Amino acid sequence: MKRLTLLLAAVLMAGCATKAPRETAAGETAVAVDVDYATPVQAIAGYEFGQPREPLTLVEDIVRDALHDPAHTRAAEAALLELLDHPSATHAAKLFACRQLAFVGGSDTVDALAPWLESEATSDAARLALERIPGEDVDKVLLKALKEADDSSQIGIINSLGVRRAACAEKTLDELSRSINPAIAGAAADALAKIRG
Amino acid sequence: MGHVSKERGAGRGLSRREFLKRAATASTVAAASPYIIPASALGADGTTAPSNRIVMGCIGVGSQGTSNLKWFLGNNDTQFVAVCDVDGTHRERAQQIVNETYGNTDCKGYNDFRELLERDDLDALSIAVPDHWHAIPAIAGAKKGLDMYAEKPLSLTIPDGIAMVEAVEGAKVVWQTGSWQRSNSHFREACEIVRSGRIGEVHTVEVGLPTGSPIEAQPPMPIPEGFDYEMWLGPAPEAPYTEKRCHWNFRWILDYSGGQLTDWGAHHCDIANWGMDTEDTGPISVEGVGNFPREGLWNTATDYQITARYGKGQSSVSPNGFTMKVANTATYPMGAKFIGEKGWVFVTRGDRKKNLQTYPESLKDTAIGDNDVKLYRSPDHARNFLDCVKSRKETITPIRVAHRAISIAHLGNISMRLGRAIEWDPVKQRLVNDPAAERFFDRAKRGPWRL
Repeated sequence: MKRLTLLLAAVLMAGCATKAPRETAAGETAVAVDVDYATPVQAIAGYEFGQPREPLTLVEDIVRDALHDPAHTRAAEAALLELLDHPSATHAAKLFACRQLAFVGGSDTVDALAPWLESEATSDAARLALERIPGEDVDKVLLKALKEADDSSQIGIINSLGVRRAACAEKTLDELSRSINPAIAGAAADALAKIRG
Repeated sequence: MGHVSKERGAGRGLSRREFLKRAATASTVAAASPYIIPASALGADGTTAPSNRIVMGCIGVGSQGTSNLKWFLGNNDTQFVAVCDVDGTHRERAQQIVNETYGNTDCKGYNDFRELLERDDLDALSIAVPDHWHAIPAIAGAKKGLDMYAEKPLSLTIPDGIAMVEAVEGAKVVWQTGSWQRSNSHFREACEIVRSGRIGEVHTVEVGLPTGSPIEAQPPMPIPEGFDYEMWLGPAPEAPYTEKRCHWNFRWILDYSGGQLTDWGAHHCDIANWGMDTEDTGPISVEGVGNFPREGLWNTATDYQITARYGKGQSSVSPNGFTMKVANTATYPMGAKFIGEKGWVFVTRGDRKKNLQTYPESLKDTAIGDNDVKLYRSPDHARNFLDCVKSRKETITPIRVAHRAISIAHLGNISMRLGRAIEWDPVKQRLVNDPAAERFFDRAKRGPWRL
């Protein structure tokens, strides 16, 4: 396994150029890295369930290896976020990208996935990434999305706020715990119990 | 049916639990009566009166759940009234087994465990669902005040396990984990030999578990009639149905389980903890290497080697600390081997003669005396649970013990997936200063599911 990974990585690196610096959503300038994250990530844009999994495993490998260095983590994140915007990326490919963003996602991921929270079709996928990203910015995005999200997505968002012990959501959750929708009221009460300890 | 409500019963005002407890120790008195009462109703001829039976429901009646159901049905002080499974075929099969046992059609079948839990006539549950479903019904059962026998591995993640322990211990319900090896006497004997210092200070424990298997990519398939696949997926990420994803084979997919490492680690790491007196603690560092299939549906590690280090003072058998090495059978035979300064003890499943081995050999038949460590004796795992339901005593595999055992395997999987060693605080039960590893520590649940 390791030998194949190294061979594939060598092939990718042989064909890549150093990436130009890029400004992130946080206003920082991304540091160039010497690993091509874009090519293997773009290669899975057409993935459908049941197809050979090796191209996904390769992306898992490079995401794992990116964790050793913040610049590499940001570069891997950027490649995965580009996949989410790919015009012909399948739902399965985007779901996979969200799962990988759980490991390397940062502030750019928070911005990119915020709109995904509002729709039942994409909300759970977004939370796969967002729930694992530390920091209050995620809490604020989850809280903001509550207002726009459909009922089904609201419950998942409330659950994530509870898991994250998001103190900023306490007031809103307190109101929602009195919702006429029992499912939302119950979720909000459980989340409040977690936040209040 | 014979269920005694909290308001009725031999002692008016007694709670149901108190009634079962007293009935277990009270002598039987035949009351003079003008009515003819069947012997079974009075508990004569070896039967247990219906009012004295523990009323149970099953959540999950696949292969393991049905096996457990039959095990419990073999005890005459249980009364099964309900079974639940998202697979209609499994559910109907279990109903038939129960109804044939009692000669009636009273057993009700449920698709949704929440509806089963709305019943007010249950004393206890037998839970055997896929790992990704272990936490939610267990916590719900604890909130209902129900005693539970539930399958191993305890949890899908360490945070799930922590929540389960808090819920069960907070509710003060009786819990038995399906780590039944402890109820086999030669496992206990092996641990007593170690705990009594017969092999001196233990420096290494070798735990052997099965090797995993890959499978080729599987195409999406139509969902079988009567199978509520959406409910089966529950809190796990969306994925299309394919036969090799579900039922027994969920074990080999990281979204639902942790592979052979967790499936069997729950057994032999538990024995390792029992022998080392580390049931209430955990390692301080874990390093794992493994091979994960690069292709196909199944993605849990097939070959793996986990090194878990324990520090000074964590084990009464190893004042200077020790190493637990967990690996598949390419490295170690199945079972647990305790290696000390003065010898070793190896134990695995099967008959005592062959599967409890010691060096020196004479240790095997050493008598455990009054000054030695004598461990909990359980003649039968299901029986132990039922006895504890009545006595309110702790079972031989309480939830906190199961949680610590499987935490070793969970940490091993995190280390392998991360590709490096991790440090662990066994008191706080948190990773130590490791933001990257934290990302692997837990996973979001699909809405609406939560703990």
